Amino acid sequence: MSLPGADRLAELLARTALRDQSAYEALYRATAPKLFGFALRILQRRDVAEDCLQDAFVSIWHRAGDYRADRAQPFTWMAAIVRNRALDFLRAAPRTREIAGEEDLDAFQSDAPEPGVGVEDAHALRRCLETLPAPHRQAIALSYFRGLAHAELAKSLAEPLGTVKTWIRRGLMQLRQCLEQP
Amino acid sequence: LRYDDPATRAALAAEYALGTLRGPARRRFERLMGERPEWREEVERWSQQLAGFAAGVPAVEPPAGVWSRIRERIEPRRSPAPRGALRWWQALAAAASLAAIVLAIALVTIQQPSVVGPQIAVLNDQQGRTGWLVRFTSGSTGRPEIRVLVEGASPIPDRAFELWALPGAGAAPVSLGLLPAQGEAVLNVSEQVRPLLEQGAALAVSVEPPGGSPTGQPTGPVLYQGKLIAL
Repeated sequence: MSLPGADRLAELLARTALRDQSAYEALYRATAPKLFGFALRILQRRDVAEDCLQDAFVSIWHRAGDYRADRAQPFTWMAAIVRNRALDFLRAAPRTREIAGEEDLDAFQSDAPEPGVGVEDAHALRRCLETLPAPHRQAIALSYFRGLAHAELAKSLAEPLGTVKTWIRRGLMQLRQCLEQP
Repeated sequence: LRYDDPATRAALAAEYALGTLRGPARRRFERLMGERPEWREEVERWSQQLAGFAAGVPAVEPPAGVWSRIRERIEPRRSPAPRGALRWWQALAAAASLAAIVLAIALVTIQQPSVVGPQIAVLNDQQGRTGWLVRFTSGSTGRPEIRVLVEGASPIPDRAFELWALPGAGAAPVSLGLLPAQGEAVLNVSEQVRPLLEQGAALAVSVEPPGGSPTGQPTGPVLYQGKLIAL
């Protein structure tokens, strides 16, 4: 799927790999708000999310040459760096509030279209998540936003491990079916 | 577990991308993914789709201080350069990111006729991890040779790694020899292969039986790839 603006982000990333600071700044301006929102969503703390965004962008500067346009959309690649860093922070200092219900779709929205930051993916994923039974959807969102493994999910949701594993597996397979429909 | 069953593959790829596949199962999956492009592609598809979670989060403008701190961190350090000669692979490792840049330039500029002089290649696996560093010297410096340094490749029991030059345009790969499992090695370059390398050939590493491919062509999966570029 080609996203509007994805080509421009890919170009900015390529120029960043060539140590073009103005391209890097343009890349930051174009993606930082979305990525900061994402880090905030995972970390739930502004100060930590700021550190996370900072680390992630330093990493993007150093690793821009590793970006492979044939393997991922630029935003996907950058979001993965932010997510990995955010989950590192989360492991180092777990969130104090553990309210399972907060990962619902209410906060899941696509605001004003920003070129290249995956609005189409957000719409498609949201549409398909809504077709899942609520517990399946919640388990998947929890593991995505909190990096929880099966056992941690089971604890967080106060459900048996086997049940949670089934939710995740069935949820993902149903998601796949839905996402693959044209 | 039947790994080649499409449903199993789909389930593992999904849980890999989501992050719920952990421990030995995750490492096993990564190994298989390195050998089977269709697995990697499935994970890439999932990663793209799950990135919809990130894209679906409302944007929040970060405070201006974040950008200025990032700028400070990426400014080149002012510390003096270390004195003394670096061993060539240390310089090469430092140049690995530079290599990507040079490659990017090489891809957009018109192909030069024949480049003579040291050329390097960084052989990466499909996850972008470097397995070997390669340096090819030719031209007036004497006998053409390839020096190979193991950077991150881990040996596979009862298997050898073989290096190939890929002439492109549908021509068959040409064996350059077996790669060392550790340390450094020198491979001799025949006069037949030399022009190919001097043009900046693509290189690939396949997994072969001990002693190398019995057929003269790659028989096992290609785990690492790279391209020779002039320094």
